[in-house]
Amino acid sequence: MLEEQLPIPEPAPAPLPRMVTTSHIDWLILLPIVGLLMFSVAFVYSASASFAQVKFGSSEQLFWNHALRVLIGMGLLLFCAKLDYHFWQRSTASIMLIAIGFLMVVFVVGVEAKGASRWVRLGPINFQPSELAKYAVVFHTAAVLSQRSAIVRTWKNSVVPVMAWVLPVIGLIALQPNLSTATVIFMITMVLMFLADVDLRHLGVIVAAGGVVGGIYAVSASYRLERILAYLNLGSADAPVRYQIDQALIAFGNGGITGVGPGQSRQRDWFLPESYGDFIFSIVGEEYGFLGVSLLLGAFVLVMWRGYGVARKAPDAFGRLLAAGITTTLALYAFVNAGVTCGLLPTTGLPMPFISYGGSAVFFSAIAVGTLLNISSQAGVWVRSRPEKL
Amino acid sequence: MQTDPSSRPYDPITWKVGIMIMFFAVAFGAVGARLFWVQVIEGARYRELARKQYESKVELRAERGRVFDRSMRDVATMMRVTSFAADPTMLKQPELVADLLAMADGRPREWYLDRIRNHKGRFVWLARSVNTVMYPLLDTMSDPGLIRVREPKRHFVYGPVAAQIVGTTDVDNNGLTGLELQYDSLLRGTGGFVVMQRDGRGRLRPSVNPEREAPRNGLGLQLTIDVEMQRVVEQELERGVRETGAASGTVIALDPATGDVLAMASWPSFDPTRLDRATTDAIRIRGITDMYEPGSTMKAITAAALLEERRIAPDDPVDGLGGRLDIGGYVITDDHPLWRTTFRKALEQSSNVVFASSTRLLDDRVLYKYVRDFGFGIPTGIDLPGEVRGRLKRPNEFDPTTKRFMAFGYEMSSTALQMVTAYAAIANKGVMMQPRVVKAFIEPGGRVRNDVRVQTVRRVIGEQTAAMLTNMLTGVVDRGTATAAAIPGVKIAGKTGTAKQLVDGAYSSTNYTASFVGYYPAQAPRVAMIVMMDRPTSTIYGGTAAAPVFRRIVQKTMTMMQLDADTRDRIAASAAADTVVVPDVRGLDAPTATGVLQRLGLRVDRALQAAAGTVQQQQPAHGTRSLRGTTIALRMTSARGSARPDVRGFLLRRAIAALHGAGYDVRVRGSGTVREQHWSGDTCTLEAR
Repeated sequence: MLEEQLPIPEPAPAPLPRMVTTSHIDWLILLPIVGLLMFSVAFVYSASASFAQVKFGSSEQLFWNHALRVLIGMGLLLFCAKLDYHFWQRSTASIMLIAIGFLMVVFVVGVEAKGASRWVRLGPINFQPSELAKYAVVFHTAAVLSQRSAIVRTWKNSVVPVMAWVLPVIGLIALQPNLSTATVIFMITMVLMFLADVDLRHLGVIVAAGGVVGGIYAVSASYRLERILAYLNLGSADAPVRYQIDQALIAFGNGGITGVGPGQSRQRDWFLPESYGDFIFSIVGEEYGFLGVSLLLGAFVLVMWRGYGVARKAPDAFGRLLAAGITTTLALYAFVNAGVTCGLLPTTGLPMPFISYGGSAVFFSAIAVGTLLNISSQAGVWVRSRPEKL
Repeated sequence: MQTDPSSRPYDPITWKVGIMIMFFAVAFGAVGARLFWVQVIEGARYRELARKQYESKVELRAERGRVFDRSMRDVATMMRVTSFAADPTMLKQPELVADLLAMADGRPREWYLDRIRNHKGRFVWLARSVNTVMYPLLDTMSDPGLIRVREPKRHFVYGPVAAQIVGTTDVDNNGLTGLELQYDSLLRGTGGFVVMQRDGRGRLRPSVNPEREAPRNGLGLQLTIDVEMQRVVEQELERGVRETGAASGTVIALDPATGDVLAMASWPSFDPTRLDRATTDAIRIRGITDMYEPGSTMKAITAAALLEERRIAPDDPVDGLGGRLDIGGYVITDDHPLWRTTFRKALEQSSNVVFASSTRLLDDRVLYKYVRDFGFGIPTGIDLPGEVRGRLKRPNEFDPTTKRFMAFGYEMSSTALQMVTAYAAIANKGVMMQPRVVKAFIEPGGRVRNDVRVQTVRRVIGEQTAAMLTNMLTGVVDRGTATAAAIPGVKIAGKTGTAKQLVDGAYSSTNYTASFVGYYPAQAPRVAMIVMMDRPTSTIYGGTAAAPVFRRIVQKTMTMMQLDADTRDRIAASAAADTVVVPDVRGLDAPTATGVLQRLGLRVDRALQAAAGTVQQQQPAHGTRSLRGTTIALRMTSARGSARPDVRGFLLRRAIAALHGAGYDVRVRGSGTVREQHWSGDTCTLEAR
């Protein structure tokens, strides 16, 4: 039986509140970085205690230094996250000039360490100009290349100005001598030019030239050759470099899957040289095992993925290139350092960002990540809508 | 203003960023894979490498076995010594360290401070091998800059006594000379180990549950040596060598019944703690390493052969030929020419002529058999390193005169030990015993592990012959050439020997070996002993150079044999010195004080020995030297009530003992020596500084 259905009257729609979209910094970049900074304090303490005990009479000496730097680094990071990244666009040339100035100062008053002058004493801290130069190159190259693509694709307007700035920096760093940093800066510049849509033929010429020069340079000093031979397993077994790699591998292997436990490292007891610096990743591997280093690398992978995400979505070309440059720098350093300590790459003296004990590296990395966070806040990668308050 | 991504124009950076993401994904993936390989798959191999470099096997040294004399008195023990070094940069109390070391080690404190202050490095030796027993503060003080190295070191309780026999070790615990060499493998024990944790610089620290193997300490040796007799022997030997102007000398004393070496000394000797200064002359045990042509002492052996073979009897007549016997161009002469006499007299006067001519009664082989049976030409097999066999011709090597010369101790050579062992066989009724210096092996805990068996070598002559020979040999001492060895009341049997030494193939008229070998008491011999002087100058004869030494040793050791250890100590000590340092007996009660004084050979008036009260004053005062036997005058305090003892000047504990002994209560201020005393009722307050 059919009954005519009575139409049910639609309820009158309630008036929708106006939605407001707000853009945040990318938490998935901030959280892993803050995590790395926090854990680095524990890592550095563990890895440096034996060394500091003998060297300074207190096992906590390097720990407190590092903790203070991490604290300052956090402040810088948060400050730069609030600072509009376009602030940098106008001043990159001056920063480059300052960086080049410091690189020259190193030759005059630099602190000798392990056969190279890489530091300048600035008051209480050891200032490493190459750390500043690295980010200066990223910032400035991003600024130079953030023009209309038609201009970028000409040799005269892209390759020439970029290389005119970057080559002196690379040259000065290579003369310190610090081949690995020079090489990495060169590679970062190439990546930025590639991303900025520079003509691939131009790029090919530069890479080929750089490869030839770098190759000659690499075999021109005995310690560099030794490192390469050690990597290729050709060097003598008792060369100091081979020893360092072997000790790093023992650290990893001794850690196994779950590690020997926080603070239980034995390799830091004068077995592994530079255990708190370039080789701190091995100590992490020893104490926290395969699971620990996987988590640590996972944090970097997350930052890399989100960072490139920011680079895709940044509102302008400078933001895109800057985000990509900063992300590339962090990821490359992390990859090279991890690759070196586990014997995948030849030994180089690159620190693990945010983890290794070091003078000024933490500060510059913090400024860079802060800037990346600021770009992310303008890129809309983390959007949240909420009703407008009435 | 946000732009909608989809509405943005084509931007090459998006796909190029994708390439970068892929690159890094692969790169980090490779690192992850590599880490998985190293940490998980190869992990065990690296963990093994790690364990190897973290662990270090540290050797635990076994303690070297101790050496005791036949009455289990310590001769060589182990002492824990400590060597001190400093890290001048870490030293907190250099003054205190210098003061303590100055006390314990003996250099002036400025010397240590100098070394600490003027040393640039971080390690400087301050004192080596310090015995810290007296200075516990040195052992316990915890200055971070003071570095201690503890090591065991041989301690020779009797100093250089028996140094050649006991021997020496090097710093690494290897036996070098004497018994330390002979029984090195037993004395050294077996080392153990403990696994320690090490760091990359080689610094060690203990493990939690270390794998370890305890060291097994070495076995100790109980010697047959009587250390007191050895001491007397060494003293008298040295005196004899000095008096006769000899180049060297040897004395060996045996127990004939067991072959136990009771004393064995040669001069020159050395200080075992200063082996670096000792010459090989001083280190070697001359009694077994040096051969000499014995001379007339062999006549007893020839006599034994003649008597045992029934060729002659002691009182048979023999012809001394007026002290001259011409044998094919060589003339044998006597110092005491005899004509018609008896065999006994010929031995007493040591007639070469009689003994040379008497060998016509013996076949070459027979004489050889006896000489060899008495142990000549064969090592005695004593358990000391370096023994030589001597020289003895076989009968087929004899030339026509050999037998006649051998009869009085030429054309052969022997060691002092072979000679005294031969005489000990006569003393032991004709049975030769194997000489030995180790009586038993002692476990580290002090229990006897196993005794060394007394070993009979062979019967050499019959009991009757031995008795006859002993009888003849006592005549030598009573009436013959060795009257200098005679002691009223002790029958000594023995024979002198005065032998020319071969110098460049010819018999010298200036170099002699003077010896006396014998045993006592003749009725039941307890000791057989040889005294041998090499190249004496003031007198050359065995009867004058060696026999007096023999006599003095017998005089000084005779009493030891029957007496208890305590008395033996006193007699031995009296042989060394006749004066003693008077002890402080003030504050002791009379019986205790008497005991203390009497043990040192001092006397106390009999009436005082049981007196009441405590000693108030003594005369002579403590610290002075007095002859043994001196009577010490004591003034006693009487018991409580009659007098309050004056204890000023007493050591505090002595003063307290005295006052308590007298029945008073005591209160003390300070420590050290009592300066003042105050009385209130029955309580005495002492002020000490």
